[in-house]
Amino acid sequence: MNCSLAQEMLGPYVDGELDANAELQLRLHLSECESCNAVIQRLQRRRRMIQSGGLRYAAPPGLEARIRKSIRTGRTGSNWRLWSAIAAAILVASTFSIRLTQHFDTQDRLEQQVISNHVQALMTGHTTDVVSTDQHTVKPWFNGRIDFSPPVIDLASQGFRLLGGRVDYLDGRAAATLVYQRRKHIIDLYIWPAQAGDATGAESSKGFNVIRWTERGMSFTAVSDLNKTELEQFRNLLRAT
Amino acid sequence: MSGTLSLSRTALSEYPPGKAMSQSTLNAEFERVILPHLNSAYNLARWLLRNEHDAQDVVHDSFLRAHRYFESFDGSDGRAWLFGIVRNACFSFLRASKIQQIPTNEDLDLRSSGEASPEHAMMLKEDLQALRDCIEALPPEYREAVVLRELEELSYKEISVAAGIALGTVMSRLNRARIRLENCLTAKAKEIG
Repeated sequence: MNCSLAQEMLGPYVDGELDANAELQLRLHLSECESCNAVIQRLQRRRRMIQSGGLRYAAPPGLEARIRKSIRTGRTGSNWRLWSAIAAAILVASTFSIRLTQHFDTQDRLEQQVISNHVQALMTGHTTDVVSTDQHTVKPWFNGRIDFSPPVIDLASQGFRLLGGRVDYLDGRAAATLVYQRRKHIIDLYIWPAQAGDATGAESSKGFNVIRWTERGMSFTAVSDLNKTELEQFRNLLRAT
Repeated sequence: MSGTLSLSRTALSEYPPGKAMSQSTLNAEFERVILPHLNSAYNLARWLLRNEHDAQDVVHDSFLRAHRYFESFDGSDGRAWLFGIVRNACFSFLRASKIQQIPTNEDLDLRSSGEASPEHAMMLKEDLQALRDCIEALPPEYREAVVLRELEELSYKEISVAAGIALGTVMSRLNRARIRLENCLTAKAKEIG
């Protein structure tokens, strides 16, 4: 395991969230990496500081009594303006939150995010929320979870088996993520409605290949440790379908 | 988007109006299962909104909302369910009032006032103040992840349920939040000298 990959796992390690296999690999790396050990100590120190610093707020006295009272009387206890504001906000929330999150993530390049997301999904063994090799099961699963309908194509006969899907949030956008398997390699295919400025092309980073393209109004990003030639073949099969 | 999505999932879906449970039984059950999480709910709202009055209002309304939709609660994890409602209300409130950026000077002054302490205690207090400021300076989504993980000690899975985001997103938010926090604390340490 190289250090840049290990560093992404240090937080989950300190949080006790790595699966047994990932933890084993990380421990091997830790046995020979001083800088990662230093980061772990810093993370643990920081956690102690946050947890022992009296930073947790307690509800002010009287709030519980007020809540009990309004539950029993069935009346709203506080101002209507709040909820009308919230109702108005929900109408525009999707637009807003996309902008907000985009703003936060401007420094993080989408490609790096996609790779981290891919690695993290593999690390925790959490690759799919809907597990099915059947495209007619996977596609409807996205209904109501995201506001677009991604094309779900089964390529089992061409050697790319559909394993399932999940929803991710990348660069402030909801992505439908389809998970495919080629031999022992996992491919994550991220799909979202195309936007102006969506990049296309092939790149590689940290040992992963990333291929991006847009088609029929959708933007596609395929990420895998599979070799570039076969990942391109995967893209070509999808485009031809 | 995550906020509104999970609001509609947890609170608004499948609300069966006349289920066979009397109102008083329902109230008792609600007070037993949901109300004990008041401090947790308030802590999250207080950190997200950075203001005591707004936090009280939003928490109060969140509990009423939770109560109204209590029959749609599946009985599994009351705290995560409540967190989902509270955080969605907070994010909606933030968007509506656009106050999510800088803490006011007034807040800072209030917190830093206090009795004079011995030097080592002053140092600790300054460190804590820096930590508090740096957490408050995080973008709300990152702040939420830190508060739920470090102060409420939720697992990644519980955070992903409460915030309506994928597990990988929980991880990347926490990772990035911690990097930002560290950078902020380093900068503050230099300021203090």
